[in-house]
Amino acid sequence: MPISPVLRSAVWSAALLAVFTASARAEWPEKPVTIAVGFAAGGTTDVVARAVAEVVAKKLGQPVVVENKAGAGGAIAATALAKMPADGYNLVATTSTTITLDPQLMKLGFTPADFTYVAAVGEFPEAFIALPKHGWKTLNDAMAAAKATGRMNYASNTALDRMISTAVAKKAGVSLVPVPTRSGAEVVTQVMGGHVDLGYSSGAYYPQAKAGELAVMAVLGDKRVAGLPDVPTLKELGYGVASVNLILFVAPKGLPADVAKKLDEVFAAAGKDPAIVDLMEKRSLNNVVETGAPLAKTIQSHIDDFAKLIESSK
Amino acid sequence: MHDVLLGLGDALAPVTILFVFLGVLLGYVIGVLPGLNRPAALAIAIPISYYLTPLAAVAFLIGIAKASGAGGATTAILINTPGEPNAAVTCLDGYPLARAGKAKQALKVALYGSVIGDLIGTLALVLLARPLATLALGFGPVEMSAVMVLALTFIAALAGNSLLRGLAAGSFGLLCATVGLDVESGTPRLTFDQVALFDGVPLLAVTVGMLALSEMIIQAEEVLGKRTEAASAAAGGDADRLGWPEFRRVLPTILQSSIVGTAIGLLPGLGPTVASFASYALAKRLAKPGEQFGKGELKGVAAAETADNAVVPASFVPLFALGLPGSVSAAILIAALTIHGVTPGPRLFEEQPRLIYGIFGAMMVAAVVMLVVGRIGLLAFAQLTRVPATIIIPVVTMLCLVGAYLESKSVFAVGLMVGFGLLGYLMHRFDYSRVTFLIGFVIGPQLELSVRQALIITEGKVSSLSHHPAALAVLAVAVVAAVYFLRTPRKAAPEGEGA
Repeated sequence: MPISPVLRSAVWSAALLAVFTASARAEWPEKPVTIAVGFAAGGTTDVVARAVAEVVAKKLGQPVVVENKAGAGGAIAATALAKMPADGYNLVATTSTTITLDPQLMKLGFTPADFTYVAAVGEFPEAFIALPKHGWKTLNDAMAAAKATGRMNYASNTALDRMISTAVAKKAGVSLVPVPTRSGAEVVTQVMGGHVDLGYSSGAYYPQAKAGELAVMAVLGDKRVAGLPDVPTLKELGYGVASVNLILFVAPKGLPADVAKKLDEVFAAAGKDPAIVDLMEKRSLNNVVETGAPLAKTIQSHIDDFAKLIESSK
Repeated sequence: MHDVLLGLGDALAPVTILFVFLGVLLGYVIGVLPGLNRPAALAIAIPISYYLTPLAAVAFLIGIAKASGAGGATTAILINTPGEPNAAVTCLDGYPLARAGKAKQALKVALYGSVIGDLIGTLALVLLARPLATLALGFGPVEMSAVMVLALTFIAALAGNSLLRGLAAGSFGLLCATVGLDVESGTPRLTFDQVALFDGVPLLAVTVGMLALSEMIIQAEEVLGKRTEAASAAAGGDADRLGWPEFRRVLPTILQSSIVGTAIGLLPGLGPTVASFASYALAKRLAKPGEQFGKGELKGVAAAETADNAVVPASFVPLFALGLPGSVSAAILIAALTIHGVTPGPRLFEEQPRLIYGIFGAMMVAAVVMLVVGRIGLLAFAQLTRVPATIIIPVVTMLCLVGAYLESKSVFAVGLMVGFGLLGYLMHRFDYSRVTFLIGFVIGPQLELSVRQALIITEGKVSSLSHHPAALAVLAVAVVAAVYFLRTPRKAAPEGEGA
């Protein structure tokens, strides 16, 4: 008996439908997950992302592919991610300021609302540094020295540090002039060469500081840096500002609930993994691990704080 | 002393030599293939290096960094298509030599120059790291601005047939270098809301398009226009041998270029491309009567290739002496070391002497391996001249497309690369030098950054230059060089891009 075309297509449709519903029911992840790093290979974000990916892959039972989509301070990777399907197979690792600060400063292809915040693993030990020969113990000493001439320059690296320094300068009643640089390593080089008075560094300074070749004037976070217990925070010194920059893993917004839950579990577990804890210590990152709802709250508070900071530094 | 011997022993362990060899092989291949270059090779290698011991990982990465520079000369000489941006200068004399049937001679000079430059740079690193690093630290924004002004004079030196058109192309290169976020204010400039342009026009897209793709268009036009011979003159023959008298004539250029390369490698932000331009400009300036730079002068090949290889080890000086990365390769080494629990820093020598001497040993081993691989590869690659253009053109074009895509995984970069390929072709047709364009484009960002830093630090006061005698000296050299290059009769200048 010849099968009518209508019947044939009906059978095909039924078969396809069966396949799709089956795949929808199958448990995520059933294929490799990709993490795009917003910075070049070899940087802190890259190193941490790769280490976390390894642990997460073991827990998920699927390979996790790490690729570098560097550029524009992580904005290129974030822009691409914002357009991807929210199926849990595409994540981005970048610094939290890529999302909490950058869209407030310039026109980018995404807003913070485009993402689900999966995890934060590690906080950068941002600091103001100087040469020990000046004899300054904290930023207060440096600002007192700046009073004499009314101005002081510092090696700057980000829009963020320019706002922080504006706030500090206002409080100290001096002028802090940013000298632009292209990388964290260049900041340290300029300070060590004695070409600038101060420097803002997100972490490249650490080995030099440990060796006593650089003095740390203040750390910028809410808490002191674990490896530098004697260095006060900006808030402790009375400047009333702080900057917290985290290594952040994000997914497109609207993840299915079960995928979000599983991501939350595996990343939280990865954050406690001895290999990751050890890596954070070696890279002098503060051991901060947050996932799920608490992280979303933290990110929102960062966004609000930066909005205030932008307003006050205008 | 004990640690020195232990370290050298580690360097000579079979597993270290194996990874040096693998690194050199990968680097060489990447260097030879136009479109794929050093950053791409290192990016591929980093994840692999995570699984090796610290010394093996560093040996592997060093092999890549060194050999990709040496391999870049091959296609520059044989098919006028630089495998790496720094080999653009190698084309100027290398390709005319190949056309005159002296491909092997040129390839050998390039290889020996690369290895000698590399060894001298490495020796400087091993013996003088600390004093050289201190010297380099003293070069602040003011001094760097002066160096960049000197670099600007290379545009005049390499301007081609017409000084005016050469300068125009160089200025256009500088203009293209201004695209991206303003370093001081973070304001996007000429980016047309394209986030992909925030960090500037991607170097890879520009160099691959301008140098490799446009060359393929030019060659395709020749093939279509008239049935040219499959390639240049046949390789081999007595004229193509590199005898001792020939090599002796070139040797002073190699030594002088090693020093230029080492000096430029010490300063962060300059890099191998600037080094090969500088070294070539100097060699040309010191040319004896009868030496025709730009028309197939072996010294031209030697100058370009030696300097760019001396840069690589020299750029590790700040890393090993002070723990500061002076180049992309050095930054990647830091990552490889940290992942293995070694924190590069000022105390590295005291804390990890065995590892450091192991790395130094591995660098020496890499030079030897490079010589062997390059010497064997040369025989194979010389056969490239027999491959008909109808095969080379589509293959290289495909590599260009793949290379542009790989860097940022974006189609936008591929489009840019093609755009610059067409632009390069038009510049060639109307005799605007692609090389001076490239100089402008490469030095632009550092020139702008240094000058703006210097203006802030000196508060714009010219009088404060008196505190920077080194900068004044470099500026004086720049003025002399500019006058000299501008007064050079044009007919002795290199002939555009050789083709």
